[in-house]
Amino acid sequence: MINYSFVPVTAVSEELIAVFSCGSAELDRKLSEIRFDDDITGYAFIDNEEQRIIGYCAFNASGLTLTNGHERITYPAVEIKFFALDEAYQHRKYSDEMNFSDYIFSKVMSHLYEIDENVIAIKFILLYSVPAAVNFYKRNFFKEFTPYMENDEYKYITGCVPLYYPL
Amino acid sequence: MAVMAIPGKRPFVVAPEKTEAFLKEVSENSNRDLFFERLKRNDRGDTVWETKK
Repeated sequence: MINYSFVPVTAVSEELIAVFSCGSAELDRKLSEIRFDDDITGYAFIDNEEQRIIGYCAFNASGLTLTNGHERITYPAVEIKFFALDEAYQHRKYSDEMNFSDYIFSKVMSHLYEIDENVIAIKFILLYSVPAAVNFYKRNFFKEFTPYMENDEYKYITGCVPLYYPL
Repeated sequence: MAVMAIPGKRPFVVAPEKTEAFLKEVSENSNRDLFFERLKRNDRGDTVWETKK
């Protein structure tokens, strides 16, 4: 059995971060930067046998707001800001039913369920996905938020798709 | 790049006229059981979360 750990990004050595490569130079750089970013919490997934970074995720507290009658309510949420796997771990099968990426993402989700049940209530998990990854999130039970989204002053959305998951 | 999320530029705000439809979809789409059943079927228990900094 292969052994993996999920550790705070702040606990990962510079040497391991330096060789991480997910196919996007910007996201590779983000992994290094989030160690010093107080606005988001980052975790790295470590392959303990290979002693290398499988991937990382980073999230922060957020909210989903709706109007019900005259009442405007903001539900507590977590927004996943980054989720990326090293190229060496992409497109791998984990089981007949799940890719390795599905499995790692499911562990992130179950961690958020634990926080919801034991630490602080979370009603929704939110994220913006690049178009190419939308199907990944949909098969992991996320739904598109666009049909319900309030129009605002922002005229651009950089091609990314807002998705939500009710916890 | 297999999977990735990036920072959003718009807040998650439901349009007032869409509130009812959104709440209906949320109430009809609780995937908690599906999520945990799938994970239980597939999880080999080979991950550990360490939260100490």
